[in-house]
Amino acid sequence: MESVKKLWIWRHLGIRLPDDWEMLQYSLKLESGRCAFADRYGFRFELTWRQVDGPPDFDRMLSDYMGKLKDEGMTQAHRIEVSGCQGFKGEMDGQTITRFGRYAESESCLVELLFPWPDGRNRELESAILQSFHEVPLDANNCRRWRALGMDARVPGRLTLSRCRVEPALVEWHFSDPRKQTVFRCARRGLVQEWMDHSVQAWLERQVRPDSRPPARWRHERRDGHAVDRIEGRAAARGWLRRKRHLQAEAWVCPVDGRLYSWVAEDAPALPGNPLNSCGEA
Amino acid sequence: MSEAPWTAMLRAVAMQNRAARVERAPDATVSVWVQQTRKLMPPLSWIVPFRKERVARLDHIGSRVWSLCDGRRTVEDVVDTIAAQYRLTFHESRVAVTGYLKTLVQRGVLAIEMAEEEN
Repeated sequence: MESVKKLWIWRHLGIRLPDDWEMLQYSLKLESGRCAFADRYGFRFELTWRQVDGPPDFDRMLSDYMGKLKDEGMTQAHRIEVSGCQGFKGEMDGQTITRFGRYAESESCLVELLFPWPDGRNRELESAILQSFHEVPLDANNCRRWRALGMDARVPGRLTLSRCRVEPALVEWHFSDPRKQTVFRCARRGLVQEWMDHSVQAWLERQVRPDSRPPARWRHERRDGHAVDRIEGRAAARGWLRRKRHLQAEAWVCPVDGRLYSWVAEDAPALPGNPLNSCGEA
Repeated sequence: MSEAPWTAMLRAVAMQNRAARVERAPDATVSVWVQQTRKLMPPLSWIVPFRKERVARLDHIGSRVWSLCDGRRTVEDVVDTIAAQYRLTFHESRVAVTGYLKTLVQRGVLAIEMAEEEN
């Protein structure tokens, strides 16, 4: 069986996918959106969500949806059920496609899981992925877990992902509070040997620009085989009121994947002990 | 669903411009001098000095990508090699390499031969 061990958590929805499937498209909106995953030759899986008022009538919804897709050119469409998920299978543009619906109760979210099968349907893989689908609630510290694109973050539940930047060898997430102010951001940078010409501490200092009064406190510690540089102090004064926000930040190079991980929190609500983890295959 | 937009490029083969002049620096970076095809017309050519060659100076990773474009390796081979060497995922490497190849093609440093369509 193909391994489905790589855990992805996005928008409080979790799923395990094969190691070589990467997220190439994503949405930030909580109300509705889509994530698409691809192997090296094409898209293999799509996760679509939409907030709804209550659990849908799956029978009716699937029949209506199947009828709509038949009108759009789907052939041989018929209902199927896999691992307790209702869905349907059909042919479109010469390719087998299976679609399944799930209702995420605590999120009041209707979720569609779509599999294009360019090389024929793999029932075992399909079943394993569907079984792995789950909701990710707040943890005991009232934090939400986000795990994608090589990062594994735990952020206070009241913060939402407001910005995601993805480039080769760079992923950056910004989490904002309800006033739309970014208070927590984390990043993962690759090709470190190619551009890093300072120590990690010097790099972090340039990133966060701490105020000199009071002097920031630096700490260097070893944590799970990582040499972590940590700073705590006040951010340089900004804005009309020249307010100096409380600042916390950490950075380290993970010896397993060679990437530079960092997180910065300004006036953030209570953070968990390690809000960002590297190389954490759960 | 049809073929993903990037798969045709993966099958393509990139090759160096044989007419270009290559200078290798001691730090293993490469400068490629390409002959200019456009010429300045008078009266502009009376004022602006015309250079017959234009140079593309490649950094370390760029030089590595350029050296892998030997006319035999496919773009997919180049993407895999760069991914392994610089510890990138396949798609990180694909986006970086194909974007860079496009720039080098525009500057006349490389040419890309697309594979024949499979029917």
